[in-house]
Amino acid sequence: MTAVAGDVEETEPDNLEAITNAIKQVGIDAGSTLVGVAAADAFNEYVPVGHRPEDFLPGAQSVVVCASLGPTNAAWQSPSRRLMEITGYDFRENVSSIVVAEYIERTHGYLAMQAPALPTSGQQPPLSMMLAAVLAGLGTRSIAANIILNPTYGLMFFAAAITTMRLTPDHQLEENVCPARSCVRMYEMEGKTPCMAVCPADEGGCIDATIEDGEITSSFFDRERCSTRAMNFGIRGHIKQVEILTGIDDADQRRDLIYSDDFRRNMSSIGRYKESVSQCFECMRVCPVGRYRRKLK
Amino acid sequence: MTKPTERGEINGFHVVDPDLYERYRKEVVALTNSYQVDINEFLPDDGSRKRGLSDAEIAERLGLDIRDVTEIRVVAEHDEYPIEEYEASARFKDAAAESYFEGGVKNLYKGDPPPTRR
Repeated sequence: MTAVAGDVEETEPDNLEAITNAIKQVGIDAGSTLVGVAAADAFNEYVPVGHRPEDFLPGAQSVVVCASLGPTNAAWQSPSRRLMEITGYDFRENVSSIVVAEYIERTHGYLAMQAPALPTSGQQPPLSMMLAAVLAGLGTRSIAANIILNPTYGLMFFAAAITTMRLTPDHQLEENVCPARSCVRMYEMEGKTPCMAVCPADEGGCIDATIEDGEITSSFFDRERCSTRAMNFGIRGHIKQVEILTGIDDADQRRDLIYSDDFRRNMSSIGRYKESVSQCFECMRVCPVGRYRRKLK
Repeated sequence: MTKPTERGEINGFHVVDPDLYERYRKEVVALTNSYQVDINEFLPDDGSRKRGLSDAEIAERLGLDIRDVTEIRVVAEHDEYPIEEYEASARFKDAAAESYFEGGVKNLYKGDPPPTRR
């Protein structure tokens, strides 16, 4: 189907799937690696009022979820981990989601908007993109910081468009992507998966879980500690430094802190000038899901 | 029309009372997504699968003003770890990445952050 500006098509039940696929292709063409669709009311089972698509777009029927890869294969293999602190996230799925929303409004005449994903109050996102990805069949929640893993690509980043247009929803994946078989074997021998071993909650890290018969039976994730790693430099670090600054009377000490490399890195992150919003990849670096794809020439 | 300071709004924006914060901080944090326990969608919806509560839900449960709950939550999120943790995190990432590049998954870094970063 070709999108023509100004044309408005009715959603015919017979070709709903074809229209849905065409909308997904718009997302792919705009930079997404994968696009899935979730029914808006599927969120209701998992999140409270105030965090559902309907709360942001009354009459919402569908959520189109755009997924992109994040770091390239070469970035994953760079010997400098700082590289992914500054290049690990490019927001292309966000661009893709707004392109999809505009396409739906312009071509099909239904209301559509970019889903509010980034936290607006502390760490709380208005709408969970991780849940959206699960409901759209793009992946499942893993032991590693509850990150959504796609069975083919592993770590992905997600954005979404909410619309009043009824589309054909994808199904949630039938099997949990995590834990991988090699992780189950390691867990049976050592009591930890690779992600749990590199970032163990009981030894100053963020992650813990139990596995029985190859399935996750319990999980724990310390989001606040993870924030000090994954958002090492940014708003939170800056606020901490400002708190210290307000207690320093000595002008030389104040200057040393304000001119410090870490203060500058916090500022550059806030300005989205250089530091990425995703700055720790250690649990994902050791995750086997999708890792084979990182081996290129 | 009264000034904000005359209405007790000492900072212009809503700021939580320190005593209220100390009294409810642990309860609020425990109810939010700060520490995520068993939220995997594959866990059955028979009480095994859990989720954090919204500020509105917490306000209702604890009998607090929702603005106070939001403030307690946001301040507590910052309060959970000191600035030293941010420095340790940077050193942890250096050590973990270096260890992985030297020996892959078989050489996973499992220690405390090293004392120097660079």
